[in-house]
Amino acid sequence: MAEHVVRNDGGHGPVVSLTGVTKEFDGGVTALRGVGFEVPEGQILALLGRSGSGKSTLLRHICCLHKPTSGSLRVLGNDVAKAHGSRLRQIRRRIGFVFQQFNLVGQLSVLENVCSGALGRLFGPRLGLFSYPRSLRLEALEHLDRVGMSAHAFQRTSTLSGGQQQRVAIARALMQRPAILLADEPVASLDPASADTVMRLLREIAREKSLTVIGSLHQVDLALGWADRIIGLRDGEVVLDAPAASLDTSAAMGVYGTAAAQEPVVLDVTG
Amino acid sequence: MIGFLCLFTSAGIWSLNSLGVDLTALAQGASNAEMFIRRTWPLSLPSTEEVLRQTGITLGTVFLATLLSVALSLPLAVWASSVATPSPAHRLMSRGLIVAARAVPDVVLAILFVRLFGLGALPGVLAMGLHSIGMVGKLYADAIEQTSPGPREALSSIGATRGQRLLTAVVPQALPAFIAIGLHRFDINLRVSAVLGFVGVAGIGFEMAHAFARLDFGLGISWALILLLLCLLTELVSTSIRRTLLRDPGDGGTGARGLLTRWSRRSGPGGGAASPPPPGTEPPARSSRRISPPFGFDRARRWAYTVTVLAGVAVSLLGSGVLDARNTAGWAGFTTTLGLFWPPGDAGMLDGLLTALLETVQIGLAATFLGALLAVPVGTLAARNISGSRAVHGVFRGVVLAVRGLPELVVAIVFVVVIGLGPVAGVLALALGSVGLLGKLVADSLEEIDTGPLEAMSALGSSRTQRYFTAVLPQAAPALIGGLLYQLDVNIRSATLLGLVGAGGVGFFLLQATQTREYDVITLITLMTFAVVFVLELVSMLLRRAVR
Ligand SMILES: Nc1ncnc2c1ncn2[C@@H]1O[C@H](COP(=O)(O)OP(=O)(O)O)[C@@H](O)[C@H]1O
Ligand SMILES: [Mg+2]
Repeated sequence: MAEHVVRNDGGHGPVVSLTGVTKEFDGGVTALRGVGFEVPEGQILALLGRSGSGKSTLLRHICCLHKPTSGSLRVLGNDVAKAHGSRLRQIRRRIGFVFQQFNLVGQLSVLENVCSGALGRLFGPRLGLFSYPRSLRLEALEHLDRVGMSAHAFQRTSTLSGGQQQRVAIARALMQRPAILLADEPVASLDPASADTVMRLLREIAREKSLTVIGSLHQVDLALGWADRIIGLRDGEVVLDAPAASLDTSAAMGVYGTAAAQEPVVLDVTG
Repeated sequence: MIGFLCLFTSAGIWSLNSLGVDLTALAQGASNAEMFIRRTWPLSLPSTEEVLRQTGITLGTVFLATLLSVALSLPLAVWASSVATPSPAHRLMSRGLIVAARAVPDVVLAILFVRLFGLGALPGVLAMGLHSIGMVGKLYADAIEQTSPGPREALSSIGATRGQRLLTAVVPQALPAFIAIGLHRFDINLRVSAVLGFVGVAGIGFEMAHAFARLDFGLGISWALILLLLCLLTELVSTSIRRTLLRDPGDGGTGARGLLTRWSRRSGPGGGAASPPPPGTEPPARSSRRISPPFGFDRARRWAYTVTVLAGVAVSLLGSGVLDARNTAGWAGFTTTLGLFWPPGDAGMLDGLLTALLETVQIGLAATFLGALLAVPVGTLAARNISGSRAVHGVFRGVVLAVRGLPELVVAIVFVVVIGLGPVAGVLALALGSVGLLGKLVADSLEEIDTGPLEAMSALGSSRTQRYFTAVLPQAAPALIGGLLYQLDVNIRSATLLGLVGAGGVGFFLLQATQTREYDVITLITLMTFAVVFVLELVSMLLRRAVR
């Protein structure tokens, strides 16, 4: 199966590693400044930081949607700067991405949206449920079972509630058979009950499939209870990097304060 | 602002004067009308069989032409849009082609293709099909541009290729707009087909032109009325389809569709909010699961649409004779025929052409001026918040809608028959047509005004008229002036064709050059019209900037 192709380092070492990653956008905005950290396989990592601190930009880099201006970024053993075209798509398809606004195609059925998660390993464009092979549709249904949405498989996606759509988006990401799951503020648009379901689902699935999960969040309490490790960003710089267990709410809140720790708090997290 | 209105009014009055549109002319026309009505009455109706045959040819031609423009516009629009273009070069090229298609008038294309293939339906299909790309391609590119970027980004992150993103994320979003735009163009092409009849494209337009050429007014007017009716009917149908399409059925929709959706949702397995299954429960056995959607209303409707369209294509292709073997010979002479159109020449009638061009511009100005005089009161009464009564609002909205359904050139023919050849008929036809577009614009922009100042003024005890002139009109003025300039552009473009039906302007020379086979004159007229439209575009850009 094609999913073995991408891992270039024999399956050892960190899944994601960044060294001195800096991103300058065309308009002159520097969104990331010398970001460096490593993520071991199976870790659940939460990115904290106020709006504009660079969380989304960082996640987009890990998914190879952006390339760093300088510094090195390795994902699943690949040097992202050197990957182009189909090689780049090969890496992307092993990385599931869950968005704040779900980014499902509202006009399509739930099942077709989930099936579209397999596009990376299919040849040629698809439209319509029948353009996906039977086996894929069955696989998609299983992922819908997992997120508790199979009863809605043939419903038009735009008719679902936000929480339901986010669960469908997770099923679509699972359809990629990902090694890494990224989530950009996955619950920022949801009511507390749906948010709780989605966060629990992400954590359970990560453990079941030994996925590495990197999620950006803006609620400190939620992050502390959910993640193994917290990284704090401020103005594109890492200002906190610690195991979640070692932090309390006020320490983590330091990420948001201006007067708080100027030096990054670095604790041993890989051990 | 005041300056603009003075300029516009004086230009309008000057044009009306020099074209000889005044009350005596209208009175004269009215007395002529009596004579003409006597001459055309009773109408000599074509046989039912003939009506059905010509209706079939017309609808088939228009349908194929619209389909052709849709088929050609789709790739052009994909390349022209910023979201799906393979490269900037593709983008530039397809934008250029779209603009070029709009620039060459359909009548000129029809003249070219009639010369190639002879009288028939094929020249109509090609002429309307190619010219329509100018509008359809542009609007399709806009529709693609307006799709939400989220799903596209999500598919990028999945590792999908450009083609996969296009089909899975863009097409489902833009499809309702694609269909609606196609239907809209179908309506427009049906109107255009009336004019193309005058240069030899088969169908109702041709029968009408033929009847008028034999001075059989009774028959000609009958055909005109049949086409009018057809236009109103298709407009009605396509408007209702477009409405259903463009309403996002986020809540399951209304009407039959909504009922069925809600019903099937309630009876569906599990219904409400499903939660993740407790660990240990087995999912249903793999093989027994349903992996295709239940055959509900939506699927049935999709099938019905597909079958209808395919049947329409088959019937049109076979019935209109575009597949005729003799047509293949026509393609052989393509380059030779193009050579006849180049270089542009005046055949020694430059003075006449220039006078006619001036007359064309005057017709456009006069018609827009008269049209505005009619459209402001009609539009005001059609605005929900101003008209004061639901009934008045409803009636005038209906009037505006009905006028929009009228094809201008057919109206012009009717006026020519009633009040005689010449620009007066053209001015009146275009003025009436302006009420459709401008009236709608007036009503829409009045409905959008901020009602705060209005309420403040009522509190001061002002009268309705005072409120209208002090609080309502000034707010809507910028939108109205924009609409006026747009209408002027439309009217001048239409005025170049009026001459085909004897309603004044440069179009007369277009017809004459076709008959005398002086094709180089056609190119010259086309270029002269470009120049006028281009200058107008510049002027209105400056005016818009000054008004804002
Ligand atoms: N595509 C882009 N082009 C230019 N600037 C961008 C782009 N994306 C993000 N930025 C800028 O980078 C900074 C970080 O943004 P972002 O990563 O979205 O932050 P966060 O997700 O933490 O709110 C912001 O100043 C934002 O304006
Ligand atoms: Mg963000």
